[in-house]
Amino acid sequence: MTRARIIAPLCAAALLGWPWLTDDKFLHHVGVLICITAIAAASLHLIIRTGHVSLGHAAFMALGAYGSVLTVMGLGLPWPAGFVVGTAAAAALAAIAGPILLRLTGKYFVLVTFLFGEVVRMAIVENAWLTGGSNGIFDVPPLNPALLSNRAYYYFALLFAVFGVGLCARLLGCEYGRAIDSIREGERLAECSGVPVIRVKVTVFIIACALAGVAGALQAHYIRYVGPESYSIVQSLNLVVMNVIGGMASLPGALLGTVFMVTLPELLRGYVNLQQVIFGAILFATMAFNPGGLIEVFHRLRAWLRAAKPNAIGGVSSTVRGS
Amino acid sequence: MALGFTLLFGIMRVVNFAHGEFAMLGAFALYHLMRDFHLPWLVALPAGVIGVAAASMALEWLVFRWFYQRMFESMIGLLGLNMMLMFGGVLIWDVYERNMPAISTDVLSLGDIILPVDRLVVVIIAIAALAGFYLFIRFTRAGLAMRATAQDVEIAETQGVDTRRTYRIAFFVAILLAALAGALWGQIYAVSPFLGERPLMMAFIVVILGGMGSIPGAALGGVILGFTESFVGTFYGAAASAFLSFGVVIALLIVRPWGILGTPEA
Amino acid sequence: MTVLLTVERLSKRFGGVEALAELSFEVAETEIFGIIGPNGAGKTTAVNVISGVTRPSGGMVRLAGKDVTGLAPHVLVENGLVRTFQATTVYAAQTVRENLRRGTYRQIYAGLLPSLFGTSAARAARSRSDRYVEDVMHWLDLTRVADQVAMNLPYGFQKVLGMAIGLAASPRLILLDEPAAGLSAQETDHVRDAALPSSSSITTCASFRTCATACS
Repeated sequence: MTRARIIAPLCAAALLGWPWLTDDKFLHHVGVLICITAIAAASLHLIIRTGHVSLGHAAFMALGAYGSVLTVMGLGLPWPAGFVVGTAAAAALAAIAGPILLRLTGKYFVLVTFLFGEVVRMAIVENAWLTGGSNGIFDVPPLNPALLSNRAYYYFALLFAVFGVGLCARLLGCEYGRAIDSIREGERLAECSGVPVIRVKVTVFIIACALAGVAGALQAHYIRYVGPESYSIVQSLNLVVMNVIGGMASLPGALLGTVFMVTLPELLRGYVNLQQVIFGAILFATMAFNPGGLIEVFHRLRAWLRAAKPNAIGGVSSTVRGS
Repeated sequence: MALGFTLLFGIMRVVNFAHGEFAMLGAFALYHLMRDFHLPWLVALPAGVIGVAAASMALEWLVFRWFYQRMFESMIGLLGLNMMLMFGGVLIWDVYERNMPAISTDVLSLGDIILPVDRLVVVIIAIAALAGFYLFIRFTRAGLAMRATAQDVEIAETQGVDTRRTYRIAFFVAILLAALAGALWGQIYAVSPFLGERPLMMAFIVVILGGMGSIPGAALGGVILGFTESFVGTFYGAAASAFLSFGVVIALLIVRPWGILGTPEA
Repeated sequence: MTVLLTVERLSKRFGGVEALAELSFEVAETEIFGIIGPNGAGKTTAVNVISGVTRPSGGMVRLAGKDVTGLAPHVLVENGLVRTFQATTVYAAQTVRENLRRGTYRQIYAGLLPSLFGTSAARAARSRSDRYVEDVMHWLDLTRVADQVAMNLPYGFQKVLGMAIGLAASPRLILLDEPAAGLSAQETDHVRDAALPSSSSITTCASFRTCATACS
């Protein structure tokens, strides 16, 4: 208890304070990207916790992005309306497609979401009259004169990130989260304990896709451009990689993966293709040798350190997996 | 494409998301053999295709064997391989498309019907490949081993089938087919590191239509897809045809995921 | 005694095979009803159909007067009908206590929003069910393994755990599918003693001995 009391305010101070330690716009930019991507990765994590890996998550980001941009630019409404429309659009599509898609098991779900993501992207490209087609929409107006600097937008995005990731954490940590885990670990058993499996999966899916919409809208108004290429299978796959390398069964793992995957390209600036090769290699290596991800490495390390301590509390250590 | 893909799934239970990249390698092999080594097409095609398949055995040892019988991990892990190969290709070559000389610019006229010879050659090669594959599967010991392993790995092993060797043979055949498809594709369209994406999509669709793991299903699916795509594409445009194929596949995955000729899993 | 479960002319056909043909019976409150038959007779199919896992081809199932034919399993659990599985079905990677906590879903789930916000109603439900979990463990003699991971338990314990998970949902009627399958005589007695004091139960067995000792 007391450890958390110290760590939490420290983290909060760090998150709030670091942008003032430097005037480097580039670092602020990375901060913004981490916040936005964290929302998307954490929301995908929700879906993964129900036992379904979606390769189409970027499509819902696209809905949020386009929804918001079109509302602000096309209808002339203020940005909160844009965000609401974008999020609602993503949630609506999730509500329609979810009950159908979520009836599919593991591998079929992966394939279907892969194709679904492509269909959404193609629909965006085909309807150029609305979406600007492959060229996208440029010169999205800034949300507010106060949010023009990267640093300012960082705080804006941080607000949403704290809310979004916090929602995911709370959802997974409460009784509902227990039901989610029971579905993933034993669907038949959960159903026969009274868990309304499909209803839970769809609810989680809708919440997760709505959050993805929020992330999309945030991104669109930050880089002030939307285009179909930003929401292709590559983005969906990157989000999956973030979840996988961090550890599929833990939210902190997904966040760890996010930080890793957002900062690595920035270190390898200009070597876009090399980045993708490296990501591919990481994905392969993780799935082949360590599906538990970085978090599992962390746990094993911690267990090894405990066992190595000479005055460790003796006895058989529990093999219960935490988190 | 579909045949190789379904082979890898049926026998090793591996979903090869990187299958398109082997097609890409086949195309590049043919391209370089013809352009840099000046080999005639009739020599370059088999040489390139067999060469790619042989070289890929290294990948089998390095990458694929960790995923046999682990379907879920294979999907994501091989997606990783797909990215590595695709963007590795961009690093080695570049993003630009290259053209290869067509097989033939002649045209065959049968009354009112005009058939381009190069497409005809592709059809003939495809039929020959399928026929050859069928004979292999049906009448050789290796083919029998493959069918046994596809049905039940453990029992096949207890019956004395060398699964490791069977896997390697299956892999070689699958990549051979993919490289062949890619080389031909590259001749008709263009060669680039992104060549593999479209054939991979089509392989997916065909395999899902016909049934994952079913070889006659792959053939049937290929025919169905080919006809509908050409038909719809010609009359309604390429976009409509793409939407239709995807839509049908999504619907099929929902209603009958094991395809037309596949078997539902427990 | 009031009738709790009525099964009327229940049929199930799988292609050409008729697994159930007009099965009819009634189970009263506090009764232990046994279904006996050799392997392949259709006992598990009967359990599957009654509990909603499989849809029937014909016939009707009524629970306390309410028609529950063909409803989804979780709806039946809400109405008080729980089933167990013949093969050990537990959450392998979790402790015994966590397994049971998951089994109490029906009681502790107060709704998404109350659960999310941790309202006092949600917290009260949670502590109530935690106490109930301790009771169930004590009653089934699982307390000493409460913190053990399920997959490390011996087979007999896992079967008892499977039954415990079912009991954790505090059912009015529990369907036990071959609870004694694969157990030694001692373990079978352990299971039987556990099932006896509870609510009504239907148990399927292939052995006459278990049926004879357990049933009403």
